Amino acid sequence: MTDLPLKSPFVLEAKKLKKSFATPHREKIHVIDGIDLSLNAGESLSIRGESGAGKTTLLNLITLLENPDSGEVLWEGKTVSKYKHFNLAKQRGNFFGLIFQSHYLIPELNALENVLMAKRLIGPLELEDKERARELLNVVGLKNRMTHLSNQLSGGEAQRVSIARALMNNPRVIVADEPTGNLDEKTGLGVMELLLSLCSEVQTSLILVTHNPDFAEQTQRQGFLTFGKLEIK
Amino acid sequence: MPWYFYLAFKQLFPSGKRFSFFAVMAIIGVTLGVMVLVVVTTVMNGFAEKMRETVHNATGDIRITSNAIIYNSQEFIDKVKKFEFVEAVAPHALGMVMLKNGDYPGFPLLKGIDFELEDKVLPIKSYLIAGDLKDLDENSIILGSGFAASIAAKVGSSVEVYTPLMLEHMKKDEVLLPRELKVVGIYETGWNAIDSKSALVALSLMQELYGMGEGIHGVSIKLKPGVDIHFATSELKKAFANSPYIISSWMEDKYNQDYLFVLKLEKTMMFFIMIFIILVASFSIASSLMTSVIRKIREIGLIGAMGGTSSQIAFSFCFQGFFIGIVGTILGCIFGIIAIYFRNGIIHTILGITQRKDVLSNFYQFTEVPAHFLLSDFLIISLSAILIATMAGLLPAIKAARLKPSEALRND
Repeated sequence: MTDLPLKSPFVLEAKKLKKSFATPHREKIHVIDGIDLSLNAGESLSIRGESGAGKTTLLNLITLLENPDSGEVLWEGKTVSKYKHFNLAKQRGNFFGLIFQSHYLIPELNALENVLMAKRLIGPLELEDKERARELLNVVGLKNRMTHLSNQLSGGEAQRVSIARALMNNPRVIVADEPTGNLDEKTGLGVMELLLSLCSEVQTSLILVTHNPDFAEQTQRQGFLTFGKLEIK
Repeated sequence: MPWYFYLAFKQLFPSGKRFSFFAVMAIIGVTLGVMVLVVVTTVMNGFAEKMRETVHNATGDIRITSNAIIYNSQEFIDKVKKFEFVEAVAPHALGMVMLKNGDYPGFPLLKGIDFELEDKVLPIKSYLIAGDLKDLDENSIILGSGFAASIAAKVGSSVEVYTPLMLEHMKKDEVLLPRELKVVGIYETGWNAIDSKSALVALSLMQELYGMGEGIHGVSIKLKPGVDIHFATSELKKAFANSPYIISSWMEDKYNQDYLFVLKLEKTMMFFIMIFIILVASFSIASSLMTSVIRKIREIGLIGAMGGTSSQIAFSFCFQGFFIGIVGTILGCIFGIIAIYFRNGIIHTILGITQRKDVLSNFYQFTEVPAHFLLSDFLIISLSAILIATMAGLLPAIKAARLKPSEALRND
């Protein structure tokens, strides 16, 4: 009789992640230098660091948009680095909700269709999906803007649509890379409050990259990335 | 609907708008190209069909000729008539002569025919545009329209005929005077090669002018309806295998063959010239899609990050080219058929505006623009247009597929 492997208690885990880039002069820069990271279900973590510290690279490694030079990434205890391309893309779309500094809404689609696009990318639409997308847009305060195209929305509204889109597939982890970076202070605050409250409400884990210490303070754990190392409080 | 189809359709027909400017322009480009190709190839087919008919009528179904004189002509004709697929046989004698109308000389190919028999093989009466066949006797001649014009002859003119037989007599210190013939008719087959270089006389006159006795140079054969021309030709070739006769169907005749080949070549050339319209349209599709890929580089990156694979992203862009090709081709075929349907009205309006109403009938012998639809042409045009439009989407598709989501998302 063999022992069954223990399931990882973490929703997301990164072990000894390393990533380096070569400069034009063939020097190696170790952007991520052996980072260990773990995240419990529903937990929120903020990552701060100077520009160029490697925050976005770390997010790319965690979501496997980039492959690490070494180390391992586990999504709900499963090693995902060996997934085939097609499967990996689908798994990522299912597992993560992605929010970026810009909203990146598809300009030919209206707000509702942009939210539904997240579901379309990982599989066929179900009858209830449209209802869920409407509900999410309602929650982010865009009940009356569902049929508006991205160029008919303000920056804050478009970012709210992207939050709804990130939540569409009930992801286990929301990865937000400076989601308020392009917004004014007041709008940014509104978006951040919405994001934090929604993540806590639906028990989705959150990794938030931000420059703003006030926003960072609102997450359960705070990390600071410097010289390729992540220090977590 | 899979997302890549959905996104492709949305890019062509965005929400809140009926269609995108790019899609409309691209579809119009392909439509115009296909329409022009359909019109040109159909009219070219019509012209070719008319010309084939003209050549066929002027040549007869099958010809048996000989470089030497066939002296036992009646026996030869009877032998040919015995084939069950032969409906009628008409003998002829051919030879170059010099013909003078006053100060205007010409060198036509003079064809001696038995008019009654010839009428059963070729639609000779229908070619007559002036004069009357009844007036033709051993002292008269009928001229091809082009040739008559070149020597300024008309019905009633007197022409002098000089034959090679005169040279033979001169060698013997004899002088044979030119034969004076009266022009009693002008014919026009519509085939310039015949009309500008030939004249017809009675077979007996030609035999006399060439000193052939009862001899002939060959026969024209008309086949019974429904007989396969290739079968009949091969049967005759088998039967006359060891004889000096040259047997050829109207399509095998060297001159006709070249002429038909040129007609086909003209059509092919026109196709290749006109397909450039679709190629130009394809460049506009390619550049618009490429601009779209570059403009939406981060959105494409996000799609890749959220679950779209490279091949699906490529397919989405390639499908747009394909869709434009399909819609443009269908519209092009419809508008092409409409243009063909109203071709005569269009042409006559243009000729009316330019005050050149008679040019069509004068130059082409047609009062209406001929057209002949060929399914194979429609298929070739449609497949070419769809293929070119799809290929136009391929380059932007490859560019989009090669984008790495992480790099695309960082793109400024």
